Amino acid sequence: MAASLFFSTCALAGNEGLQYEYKIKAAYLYNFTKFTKWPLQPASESAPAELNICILGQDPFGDAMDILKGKSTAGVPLVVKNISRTPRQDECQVLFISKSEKLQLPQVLQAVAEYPVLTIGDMDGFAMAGGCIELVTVNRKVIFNINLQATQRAQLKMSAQLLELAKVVID
Amino acid sequence: MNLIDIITSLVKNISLRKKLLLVILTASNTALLLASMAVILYDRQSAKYTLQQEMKVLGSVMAQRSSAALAFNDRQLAEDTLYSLSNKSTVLNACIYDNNGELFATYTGKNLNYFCAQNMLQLESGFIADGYLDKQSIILDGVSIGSVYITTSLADINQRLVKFVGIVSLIFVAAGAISFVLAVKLQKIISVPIDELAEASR
Repeated sequence: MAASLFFSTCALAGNEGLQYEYKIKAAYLYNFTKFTKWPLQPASESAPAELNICILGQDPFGDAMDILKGKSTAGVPLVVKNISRTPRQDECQVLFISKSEKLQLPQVLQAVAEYPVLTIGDMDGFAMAGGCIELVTVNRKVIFNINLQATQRAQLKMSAQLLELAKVVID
Repeated sequence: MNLIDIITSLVKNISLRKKLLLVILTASNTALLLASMAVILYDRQSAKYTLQQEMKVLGSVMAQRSSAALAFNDRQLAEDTLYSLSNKSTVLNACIYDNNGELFATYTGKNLNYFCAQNMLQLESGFIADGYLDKQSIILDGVSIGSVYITTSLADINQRLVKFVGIVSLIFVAAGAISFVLAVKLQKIISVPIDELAEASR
């Protein structure tokens, strides 16, 4: 996958470092969709046409999300959207909550808690606050913590391999 | 004079009783030998086939278990996954390569001579000099993101062959001894009346 190109040992320093960091995070977002199962749609409803990855708040990714163009997961095309308000049910399957939304974080997480949405963020304490996956940068490497309770409340199934990879699993 | 002529001349001059014994023993032991060889060959092929299937399963499991580690560039987890192969003493080494053919994670067994090349060699599954190499693609969501190679030694199946040959040899010797005893007894059915007839005609 193109993401493998991003996994080199460049220093995360300055603007370039930040761009590189978000390239890795974009690749992680893509990979998370490979290891997550969303609840099956009832037989009466048609299968989702797209898997929407929404970025709430100020977009830190810039061009980094371009790697997701044309990509799909389990045959469902991925679409990246920027949104400025809490999504409605079924609007987003993945919701990245930007650091700019720190003050609204509890309300946003509360609003989507029961929706089948994989909430991801990179602000401190995101997982403890009820987010599904928290991205953490440690020694120039991006790792992640998973809040299993949050994923279960959202009726998401996380692959055991993903849980193995997480540095911390909150359950 | 060739070998056949030498044997023919030797056989011509021995008694009827010994000729009969020779015929019976030659036929039975040749059949036994052929049967033993066939059984040994079959067992060897069967053991190799079983090994191939076993390694295919092991390789598939390793490939499946390594996909997340490779996708998220977690070398340590990939090596921890490969390390579970240490439970199988015949595994010589295991190597994971990414899609660029670069070495990502390794496991080396007790024999340190078996190390992973830095770049993936274009090899497919098959028997190599003194082992078996299994290659499996690491698939994530229908796309290959890398490969895992596992090399196993043939020590187990070679040991099995040695044991098998030993057992078959013992059976061959025992069966040969039994056929000798039977031949000695049975040849009398033919040789005694003929000897008596020859005696009477003198």
